[in-house]
Amino acid sequence: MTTLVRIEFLKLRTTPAVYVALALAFFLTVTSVLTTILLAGQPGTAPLGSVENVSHVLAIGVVTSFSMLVLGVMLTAGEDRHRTNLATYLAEPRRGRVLLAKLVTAAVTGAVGGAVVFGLDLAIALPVYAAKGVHHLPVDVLSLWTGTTLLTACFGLLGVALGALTRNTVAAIIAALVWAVVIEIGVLQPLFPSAAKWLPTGAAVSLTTATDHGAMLSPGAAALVLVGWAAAVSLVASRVTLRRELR
Amino acid sequence: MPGIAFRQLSKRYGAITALDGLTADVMPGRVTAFLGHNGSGKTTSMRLLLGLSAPDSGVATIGGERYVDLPHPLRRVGAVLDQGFHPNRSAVNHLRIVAAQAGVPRYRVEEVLDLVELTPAARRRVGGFSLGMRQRLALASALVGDPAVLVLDEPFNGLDPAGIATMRAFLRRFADDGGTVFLSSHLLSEVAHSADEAIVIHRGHLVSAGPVSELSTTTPGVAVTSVDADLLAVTLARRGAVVERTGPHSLDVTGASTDDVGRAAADIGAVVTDLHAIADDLESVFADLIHRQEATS
Repeated sequence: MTTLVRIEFLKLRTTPAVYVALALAFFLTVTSVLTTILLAGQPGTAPLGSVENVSHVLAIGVVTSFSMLVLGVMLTAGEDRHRTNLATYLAEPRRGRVLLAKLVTAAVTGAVGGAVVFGLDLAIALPVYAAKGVHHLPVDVLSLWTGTTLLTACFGLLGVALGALTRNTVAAIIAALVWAVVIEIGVLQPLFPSAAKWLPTGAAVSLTTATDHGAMLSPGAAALVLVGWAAAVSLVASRVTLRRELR
Repeated sequence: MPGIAFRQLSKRYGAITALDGLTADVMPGRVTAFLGHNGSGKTTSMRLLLGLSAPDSGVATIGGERYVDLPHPLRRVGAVLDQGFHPNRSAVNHLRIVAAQAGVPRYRVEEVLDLVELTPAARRRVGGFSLGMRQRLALASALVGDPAVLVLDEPFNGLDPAGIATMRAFLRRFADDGGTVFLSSHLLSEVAHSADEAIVIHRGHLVSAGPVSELSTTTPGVAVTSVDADLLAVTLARRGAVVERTGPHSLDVTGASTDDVGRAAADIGAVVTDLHAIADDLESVFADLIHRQEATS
C-alpha cells in the first residue's frame, strides 16, 4: 500500500495540476486576506478586527476544500479521461487497493494543503492586522486551523470518490457544485436548516465558522459528520469500482 | 507449458456474446498473431487475459497463473493496449511511474528509452508526441519490467515503414530469446511477415490456430493461363482437382498445388503462360476462413 501511495504522489508531482492548484490557492489566499482586511469597515462589511471580519479572513477552507475536491476528482476521473487507468490496473489489478491508495493520497494532500494554506493565510493576516492596530484575534484560531485541515482532507476524499463514481472530471465537479451551492445552500439550508446542518456543506460551514454556531453543529460534531460523509461516499465508490467494467 | 493459455473463455456484455468458449495456446519462443475482424473478440480476450475484465466462465493464464494472481505483473507481462498517457507528463516521468509500479530500478527507464530510440524526446510532453512516438513509448512502458511475455494490441499502428521494420525485428529477437509474443493486428501483411503462429477468431469463436505457414496453405488454389486450357482442364479434373474456367485461356484450380498443375501441363505438352498460387496471401486465407466459419454456423 505504501508503494501505491508513493506512486500516486509521483503521479501528482509529475503533472501541472497540483502546481496550478497551489498557485491558485496562494493567489486567492493573498487576495482574500488583503481585500477583507483592507476593505473592513466599508459599508456592507464587518468592522476591522471583529469576530465576523476575522472569521471571514480565516475562512480560507472554502478555497482549499474546493481545490482539493478538484484534485481528488483528477486522481480518479482524470485517469479515465486520459485512459491512464488501464496502465494503473495493469500494474495493480486489485482495484480496491488502487482506490484506497488514491483516497490516502487525497486525504494526506488535503490535510497538508489545508494546514499550510491556513498557515499562509494567518502569516499574511497577522502583520496586516498589526499594521492596522489589531493585535488580538477574537476567535479560536487553533479550532479553525484544525477544522480547515480536516475539511480539506475530507473534500479530497469526496473528490476521489465522486471522480470514481462519475469517471468524468467535468461531471464530477459540476455535480459537487450543484449539490453544494444549489441543493444545500440554495434550497435545503433556508428551507430545512435543522436537517441541512447534517449534510456535507452544512458540516463544512460549521467547521470553518468562528461566529456563534447557533443552529449549526458544534465543530466536534461537524467533524464527525463530515468524516462520516467522506467515508460513506468513499465506500459506495469502492463498491461501484470493484463491480463495474473498465472502459 | 504455454506462455499464455485460454481455456473455455467466455464473456457476455448484456445480450452480446463477445467471446464463446475460446481455447487456445500461445507458446514461448514464438510470435503469435491474434486475427479477427473488429468486434470479433480480440480485445475482449486480451482484457480478460490481463485482468481488466472478469470472464463469465473459463480462465486465461500466463505461465499457468491468472494475471490478477501474479505477484509483480509488470515484471512478467508487458502489455500495449489502447492505454493512454497524461498529455502534460513527460515521457521520462511516465516511465518513472511505470518503473515504480513494476518495482524496478530507475536505470531501466533510460535503458528502455534508448531501446525505443526516444531518449532525445525523453523530457518532452507526451501530448506533443506523434502517434508513432506514442506507440514506441507504449512499447517502452511494456518493457520496463523486463517481462518474458508481451501482449500487444495493434503494435504496428501509427508506425512508419522504418518503425515497422524495427518493431518486427525487435519482436523476432524477443521471441528468439525465448519470450512469448502475442499480438493482434489488422495489418495482415505485417502479420505474415512477423508472426510464426496465428489464432483466428470470428464472432467470439475460435476459427483456426496454427503456424502461419500452414494457415497459408490450408486453402490451396492455383491460377493457370494456358493456350491449351481446355485440354489442361480435362486432365486436371481427371486427377481429382476442381477446375473453374475464369477466361478463354485461364483456369482457377483447387485441390492441386502449383507443382501438380505444372506437372499435368508438362505431361500433356500444354503451353503455360502464367502459373501462380492464389489465396496464399493471408488476407485471402483469412477471408476464406471467416467465410467458412460463417457457412458452418
